[in-house]
Amino acid sequence: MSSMAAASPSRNKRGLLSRIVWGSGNDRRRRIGESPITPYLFILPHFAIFSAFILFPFFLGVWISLHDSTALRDGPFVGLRWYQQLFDPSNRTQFPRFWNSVWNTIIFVIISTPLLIGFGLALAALLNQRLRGRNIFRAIYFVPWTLSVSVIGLTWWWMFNGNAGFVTMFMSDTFGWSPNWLATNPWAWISILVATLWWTIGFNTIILLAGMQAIAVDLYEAASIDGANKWQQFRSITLPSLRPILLLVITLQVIASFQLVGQPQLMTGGGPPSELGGETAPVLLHVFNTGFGGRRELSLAAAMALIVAAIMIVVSIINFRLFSSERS
Amino acid sequence: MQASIFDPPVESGRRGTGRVRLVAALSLFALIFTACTGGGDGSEAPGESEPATSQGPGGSGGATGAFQPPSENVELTLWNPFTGPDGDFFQQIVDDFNSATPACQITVETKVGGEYAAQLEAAASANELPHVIAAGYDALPGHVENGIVVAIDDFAEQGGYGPDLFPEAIWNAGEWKGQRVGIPIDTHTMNLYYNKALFEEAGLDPESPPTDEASFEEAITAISENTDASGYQVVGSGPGGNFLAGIQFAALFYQGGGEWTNEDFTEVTFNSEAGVQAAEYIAHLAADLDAPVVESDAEINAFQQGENGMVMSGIWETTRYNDALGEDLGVAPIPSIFGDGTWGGSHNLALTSAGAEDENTKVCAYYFMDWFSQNSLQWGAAGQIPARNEVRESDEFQNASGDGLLPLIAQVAPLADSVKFLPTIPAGGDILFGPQGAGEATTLVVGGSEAQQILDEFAAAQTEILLQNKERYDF
Repeated sequence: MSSMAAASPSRNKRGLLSRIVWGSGNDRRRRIGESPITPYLFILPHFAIFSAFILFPFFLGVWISLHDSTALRDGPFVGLRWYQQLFDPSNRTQFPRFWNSVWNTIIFVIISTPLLIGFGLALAALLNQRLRGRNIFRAIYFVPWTLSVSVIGLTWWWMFNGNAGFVTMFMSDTFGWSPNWLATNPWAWISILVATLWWTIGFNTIILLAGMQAIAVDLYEAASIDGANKWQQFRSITLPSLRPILLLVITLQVIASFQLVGQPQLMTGGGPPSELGGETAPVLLHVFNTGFGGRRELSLAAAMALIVAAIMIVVSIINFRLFSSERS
Repeated sequence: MQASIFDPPVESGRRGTGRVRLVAALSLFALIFTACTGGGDGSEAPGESEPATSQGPGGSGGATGAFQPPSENVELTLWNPFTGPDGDFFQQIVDDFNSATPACQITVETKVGGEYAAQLEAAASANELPHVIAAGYDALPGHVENGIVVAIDDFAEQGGYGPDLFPEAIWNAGEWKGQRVGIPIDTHTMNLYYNKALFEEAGLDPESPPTDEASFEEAITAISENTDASGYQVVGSGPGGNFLAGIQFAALFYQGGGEWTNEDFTEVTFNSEAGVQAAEYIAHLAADLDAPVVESDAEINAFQQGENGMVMSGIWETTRYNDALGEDLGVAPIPSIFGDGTWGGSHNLALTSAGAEDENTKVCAYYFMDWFSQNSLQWGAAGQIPARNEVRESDEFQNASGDGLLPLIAQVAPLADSVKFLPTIPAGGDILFGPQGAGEATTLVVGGSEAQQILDEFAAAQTEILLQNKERYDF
């Protein structure tokens, strides 16, 4: 989008259409052979893809959410019926389950974000040392991140399995007792957190490590001459220098945590069961199950997805504000 | 939407090939690892244990004369959801058919069960439907309403198909809005599987599995007290929790004479006395008999490892259990806690709108469906109870022997006469397995909720959904 503004800085007051048709005659920077359409041609490929894969699905989603459709059947127009069900506290079937899953997601975001950032930061600081074989360690920490969620889900489901899981058996043998990891809380949440941590910590670590390596070495040298110990150096040099990158990582992490779906789907199925549809069921899993499981309520799922999108936009705006204030 | 941001983005590969190789090697390892963990149950080749026969109990295949192969050569596509070892048996039957019927050739495509309906819908909108499908009876009404499956009353009439050829419940499950929409090929029931070695260790007779409440509870206590294994395990959560708790509930619900809805489909009624006692009984096993509450599939794994003495499972687990326990595996009808009966499903063969388009494809499809039905003995070897009475009553079935599954299936085959089904309506399965279905209610009762209260609440929610679907599909 920005290329449009840069390539066509005309200040005339004629409309877009007339400019395309007649050209912007008083544009001093126009060169021979350059048509006023040129900038639009440049953004056309991206706009075409953007329209096909973002704009069209978005408006189709809005359209579906106002109808009563399944995958094949274009149902009749029902107006805001699904939104009403989702916002009406007296609705027994949809309201409580949807908002419960939203709440579950928020819990996960609140718990997982500090953990994933904290551990990532700690690991990055460790890997930033001059130690033997540090490249091997960097690779090891990063490797889980290249696996797909199905591998992670199945692996950790086996690890925490109530009967024969490695963790369960190890704890029973060592302490004579083990929690029923996947079937009771808080253990179910902890299992999901551990799996997520193991899986995604590598990404945060690598980004933060890159940030740390960009910090000028003379800062540390000057600090150590002044007698600052390692912890003081970390607090007063590393953290402040890392701030822009840290904000980026936090933003990405919040969004990623909001999109939690595969781990509970494969490990707990959203359980332990509750009257509200499961204590670890995140909202996107609920949307998926509504639209593609059992009854395949596509329209209802579309309405839910749009509400989630609205929530995500609000979160993104808050993040954006944080960034802006950082820049100024 | 389901794609996660955790999916790795493209990485700038500045660090040379060493890292790339390492990652590639580990990814390969991960792939192999998933393949191993995911496919541990399905590597047995078909036809090894049971020689393939093209001879049905009625003599030569398709010999009733009611159907004839098409006059010109026709090629049909058939989709099925049989991803396990049963898929190989299905393919074997089709291969036999193809070699016996040069004019009508069938190509089988197996689709992943969870996405089966979605794939059919996608194929329908792309105008690429197969001609024949095998599908669960409960999926048929939805497929008919979506224009995927068409009614085949003329098939039933022409071939003399009716309730006298099949157990009545199985036959009736293939009917929607008064029309015949599927021909049943099997029923897959929930059965009792028990570990004979653990029975012996616990001082029980390995040849007399429990048949009623008293002997069932006695066996649970004996095994959990005298061996290291659990006597029984109750599923209370997990990804398959609603399903596994659901079939457990349904079996006891049927035993108590429960009905899912009233007759005109205006009210869901699993909160009846039969429902309450079913859910309470399952909770009682956990609360009073020390049966551990586990997440879904943990009870199945424990049974395979000899750490669980008894398990009630769908018949499709037979192969897995047979592989794991061999001689020690005992199979029996589930104990009659409140009476006879068990949960079951039923696969049907159905004609699609693509198959009905052309007279020749239809002739070929009908000929095949009739042939399959008559030759479904072989399908029993895949681990399903054949639906057709004469196949189950045949000597080959009744006196089956050998290492295959057929002798085990023959032991539970009488269940075909008492098995019951969910109503054949669009999304009928959700009454049991869906959100706020009876299965989910059962997990909550196991977790300590009051049965009557939670069943009332969920039945009310299901009634709302039922009425919505009734209006949608006009039944």
